[in-house]
Amino acid sequence: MKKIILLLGIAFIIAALILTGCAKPQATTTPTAKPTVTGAQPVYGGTVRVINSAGPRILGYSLEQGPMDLFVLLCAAEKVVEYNEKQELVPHLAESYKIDENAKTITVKLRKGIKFHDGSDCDAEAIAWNYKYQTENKRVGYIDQWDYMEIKDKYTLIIHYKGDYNNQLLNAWLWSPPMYSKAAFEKAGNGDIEKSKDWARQNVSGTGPFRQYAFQRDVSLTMVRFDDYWGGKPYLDKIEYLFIPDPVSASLKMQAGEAELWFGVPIKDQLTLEQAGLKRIVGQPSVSMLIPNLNSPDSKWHNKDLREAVEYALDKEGMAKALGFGYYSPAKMVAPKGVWGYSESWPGRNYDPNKAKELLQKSGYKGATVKVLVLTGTAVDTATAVKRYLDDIGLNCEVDIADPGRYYGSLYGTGWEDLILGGFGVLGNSLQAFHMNLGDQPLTRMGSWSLPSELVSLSKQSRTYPDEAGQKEAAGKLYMALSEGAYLIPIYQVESASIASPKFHITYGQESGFTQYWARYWLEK
Amino acid sequence: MTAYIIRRLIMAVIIIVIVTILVFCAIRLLPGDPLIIFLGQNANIEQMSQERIEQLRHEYGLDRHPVVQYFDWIGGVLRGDLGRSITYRDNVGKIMAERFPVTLHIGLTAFILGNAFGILLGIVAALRRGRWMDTVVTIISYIGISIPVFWLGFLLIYFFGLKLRWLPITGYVSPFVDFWQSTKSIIMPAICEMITGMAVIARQTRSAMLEVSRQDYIRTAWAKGLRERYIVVKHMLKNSLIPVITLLGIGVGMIFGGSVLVETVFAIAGVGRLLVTSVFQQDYIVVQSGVLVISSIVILSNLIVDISYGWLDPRIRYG
Amino acid sequence: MTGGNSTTFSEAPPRVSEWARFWRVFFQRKIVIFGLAVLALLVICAIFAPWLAPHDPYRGEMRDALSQPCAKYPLGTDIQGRDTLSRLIYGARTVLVVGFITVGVAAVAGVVLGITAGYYGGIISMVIMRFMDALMGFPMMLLALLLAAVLGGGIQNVITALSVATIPGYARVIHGLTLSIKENDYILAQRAMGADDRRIMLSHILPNSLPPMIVLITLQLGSIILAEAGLSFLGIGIKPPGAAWGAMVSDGYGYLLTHPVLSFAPGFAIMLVVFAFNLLGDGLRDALDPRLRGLL
Repeated sequence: MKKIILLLGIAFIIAALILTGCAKPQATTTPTAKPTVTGAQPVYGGTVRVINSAGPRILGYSLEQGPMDLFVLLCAAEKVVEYNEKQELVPHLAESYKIDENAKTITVKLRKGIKFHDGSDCDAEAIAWNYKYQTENKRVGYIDQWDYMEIKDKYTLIIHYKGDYNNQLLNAWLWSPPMYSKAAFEKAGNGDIEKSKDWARQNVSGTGPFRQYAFQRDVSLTMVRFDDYWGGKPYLDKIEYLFIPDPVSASLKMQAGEAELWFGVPIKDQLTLEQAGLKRIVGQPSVSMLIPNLNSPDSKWHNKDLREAVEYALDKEGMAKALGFGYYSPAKMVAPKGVWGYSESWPGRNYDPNKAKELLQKSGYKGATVKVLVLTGTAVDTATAVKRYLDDIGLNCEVDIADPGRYYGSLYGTGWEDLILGGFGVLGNSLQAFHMNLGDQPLTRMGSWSLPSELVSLSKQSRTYPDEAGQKEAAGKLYMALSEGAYLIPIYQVESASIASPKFHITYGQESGFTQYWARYWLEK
Repeated sequence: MTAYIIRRLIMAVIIIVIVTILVFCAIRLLPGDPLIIFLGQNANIEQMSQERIEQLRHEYGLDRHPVVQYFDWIGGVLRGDLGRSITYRDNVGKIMAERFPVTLHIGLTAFILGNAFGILLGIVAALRRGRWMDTVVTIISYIGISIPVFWLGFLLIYFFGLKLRWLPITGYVSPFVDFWQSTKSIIMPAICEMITGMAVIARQTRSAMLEVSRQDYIRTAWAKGLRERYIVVKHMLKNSLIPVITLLGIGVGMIFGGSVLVETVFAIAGVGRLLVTSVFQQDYIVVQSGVLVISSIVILSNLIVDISYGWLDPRIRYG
Repeated sequence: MTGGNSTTFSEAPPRVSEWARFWRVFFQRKIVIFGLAVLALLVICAIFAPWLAPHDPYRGEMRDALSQPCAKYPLGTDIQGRDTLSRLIYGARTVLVVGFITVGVAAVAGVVLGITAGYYGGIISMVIMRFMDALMGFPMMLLALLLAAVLGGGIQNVITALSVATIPGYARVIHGLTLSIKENDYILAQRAMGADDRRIMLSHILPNSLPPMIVLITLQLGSIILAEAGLSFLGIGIKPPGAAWGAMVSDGYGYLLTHPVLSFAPGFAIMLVVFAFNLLGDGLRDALDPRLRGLL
C-alpha cells in the first residue's frame, strides 16, 4: 500500500510539473496590434473557418430572426444601405437613396442586375415584398410613421412617411431589415405559407456574396461563393462557421490553426491569442455599464443620490486594469471616447468611497440587498468586482447570475429589480445608438429602462435635425444629460474584438459592428 | 419467468408515467414565461403586439389548463409527436433525431470500452493481488472515481489536441462522412464518459473476484489441481460477473449524465448539450421530451439488466 | 479493497471484541491513515479558516490580479486579485457544508422511505419504491441540472438538487436491508410477541443498517463533491464571491493556458478529498462488513 501512495504522489507531481511547465510567462508589456501586411495583393480561393459561440436558430425568416441569428448570416443577407468605415450610411443594394422632407418620401433607386441566390431578380417589387411582410407584422421601428409604398419602376421604390421629419428613419427602415428572396420563399411552400415559413427558418436566400451550402443546427454552417454576386467575384471560395460554446476549446482551436477567425473573443483569450501570434481585430468601442431600474414606479433607483453613490463607489481604474488585461479603459460617460456626445470637459465621477458613503446616507438607504443581474461568463468577473466595491461603502449587494435565456429575457422583456450589467455599443453614430436602445421610442426596448421624463423632449427633438452638425449637438446634449443625472453608470470602455489568423485579410471591425463585407475579405495562400 | 417479465414491464411503464409527471411539474415551476423569454431573446418584444403574444401563446397551447397541457403532451408523445420547440421553431422529434446518433455513438463506444476495460482490469488486479498490476489498477480506479470529468476533458484537449496534435480539439464527425476522422473525434469524449464507469466496474469486478476466490468450490477446484485458466474462466469469472452486471444499467445512466458535461467541453451537438442549452433557454418542450426519452432508455436498460440478472444467476427464482 | 495479508482458512477465528476488530482492520492499511489525515486537514481548514488564510478570500487587491505564485500569494491570485490559497482554505467549508448537508438530508429521507417501504411492504412499498425508481431513471447530473434550473443557482439550491438526486440510492439500499433483516427469526419473534412496529424499526432494523449506510455515505460524499463541481462548471453553482472548489476549477478553467494553478490547485484538492473519502469508505467497508469477519 505504501507503493500506492508513492505512485500516486509521483503521478500528481509529474502532472503538476507538466502543467506548470507548460504555462507561458505573463506578459509585462501592453500588447500592440501587429501591422497587417501592406500592399499585399488579394488572391482568390481558399476556405475560411469562423468560430462563433452560438449558431443561428432562424436562417431566413425575418419575422422570427433576432440579431444573434442575423450576425452569422451577414455574408448572405444584405440591406438596402450599409455602414462604411467612417460609420456613415452608404447605398448598398441601393444605387442611391434620398429623403425628401417636403414630399415626406424616401426614394430608393436600386442597383440593376442584383440577383438573389435562387436566381430571381432583386428589384423594387422584391424589396417591397420584404417591407410589406415586415410592416404588416409590425417588425420595423417607427411603424406609426410608415404610410405606404409606391413602386415607381422596376428599380425605384418610394416610401411615404407620416408625421415629422425623423433622422432615424433611414437607419430603422433602410438599414435594419435584411432582404430575402420572395420567389424562393413562395416556391418552397408551393402555396402553403406554413411550408414556406418552415423552409425559410432553415434556409437563407439573400443577395450576399455567399450562399448557403449546408447547415447543421448548432454545429456548423457552410457557405459557398455566390458567382452571380452583384459586387464582383468574392475572393474566398467557402466560409465554414463552427459553433463552439466553450471559449477554451475555441481558443485552442485558434492556436492549433484549426480556424481563421473567431468572433467576439473573451478578453483573456485575446491576450493569449495575440501572444501566440494571431491578429487582433479591434472593432467599435462599447461601454460596460450598470443600468438601474428606472421603469418601475416603486424602484429605489429614482433616487439620484443612490445612483451617484454607486458610481463614486466603483474604482473604475482598478477594475479596468484588473479585468481588462490592458485592453479596458475607465469610462466616465456611456458614450465611448471619440464619438458624438463624448465630452472631454465632463469630469465624471471618480473613485471616492467617502463621498459614496455620504451620498448613500443622504439617499436614505436602509440596508436592503441590491441585486446585480449579470450574464453568465466573463461579465461575472465584473459583477463580482462591483459587489466588492458596493459592499465597501455599506451597500449590500448580491450578484445574480443568469443564463442567456433569463438574462436576455429580463433585459429585453420582463425587466430586472435593481441593476443589470450591460454594454452600450455604437452602431453607426452615437445618436442612432441612443435611439436604438435608450430613446423615448427605442427600436429595442429594455425591460426596466425608460427614458427619464425630463429627457423625453430632448430625445424627440434630436430626431428632427437633418444635418450632421445639428445631430452632433443634439447627441452631445443627450449624453451630457444622461451623465449629469447619473441615469446610467458607466464602468469601463472596451473595444469589441475578434481574433484572426495573420493570413486572413479582413476589414471587419472598421465598419459598424454589425456590418461585414465578405466579398472583400481574402486569405493568403 | 414470463409472468415475471410481464410484471416488470408493467412496473417499468408505471415508472415512466411517474417520470412524465415529475418532469412536467418541474418544468412548470421554471421561473418566467417561456414565451416572453423567447420573444425577449429576439429583442423585438416592443413591436410584438399583445395580440400577437396571445396568438403565439395559443399556438403553443400555453393558455390552457396544465392538466390539459399534460394530456396533450402525452397524447402527442404516444402518437410520436414530441411537440414543437419554442426556440428552434421545429419539431422536437426531428431535433432529437439529429442529436441522438451522436450521443449514442460516443455513449456506446464509452459503454463498451469502459465495461470491457473495467472488467479486464478488475480481473487482472484480482488475479495479481498485491502485485504491481494490482497497484496500477487501484490507482487508475481511484483516479477514475475522483477526477472531475470536465477537467479531465481539458487535460486531454491540452495534451493530445494542442501539444501533441494527435486528435482534433473539439467537434464531432459522423462515421458515415469520414470513418477515420470520426474515430479520432470521439476518442477524447469517450474516454471522459467512460472513466468513472470503468473505475467502478474495475473495483466491483476485483472485489467480486476476490470474494468468489474465497468460496469453497473454488478452493475445491484448486485442491483438485485444476489449471488456473480453467478455474478462472469456468468458475470464478462466471460467478463474479453476475454482481457486475447490475452495474451495467447504472452505467447507461452515467453515460447520459456524463454527456451533459462532456458534450459541453468538446462542443459536440448531442442530446446532452441540447438539454443544457434548452434548460438555460427554458425551452421546456425540448427539456420535457428529452428527459422523458433519456429516462425511458435508462429505465428500460435497468429492466433488461434485472431480467438478465435473474436469467444468469440460477439461485434466483421467480414465483 | 482488501488488505495485503494472506488469509488463513485453517483455524477458526479467535473471538475478539467488535471494536478491537474494527480498529485493527481499519488501520491495517496505512493508506487509510493518509485518507484520514487529508480529511482531518480538511476539517481543520474549514474550522480555522479565518486564522489559517493569509488573505481575505472574498475581497482581493484588484491591482494584484492574476499574479503568478510568489511569496505573497503562494498559489497566485485570480482575476479579482483574490488569493487562491485563502479561497482554497475557505472552500473547505463549502465542501463540508454542501457534502454533509446533502448527504445528511438524503440519507435521513432515504432511510425513512426505505425502512417504511421495506417494513410495511404492499402498496406503501409499491408507491415509494416506484417513485424512487422514477428518480433513479434520471441520470443524477440531469436531475440536478433540471432542479437547479428550476430553483436557480445558489448553495441551498445545489444542496436541494443533489439531495433529491441521491435519495433513491439510500432508499434502495435500506429497503433491501430491511427486507432481509425483517425475515430474521428474532424480529419475527418480536412481532409475534406483539412489539410495536416503530420500536422494531428503530431498535433493530436501524442499527443493523447503520454499517452499510456509513459506508455508502462516505463513498457518496465523493460523488456529491464531483457533482457540485460539475454544476458549477455548467454555471449553476454557488454564487460569487463564495469560495467553492468546483466553481474555482471552472473559473480558472479559462486561464489554464496562462495560470494553470488557478484551476489545477482546486481540481487537485477535489481529487484529493474525493480520493480520501473513497479510501475511508473502503476502509470502513472492510472493517464493518460482517462477511469478512474472521477473514480480516
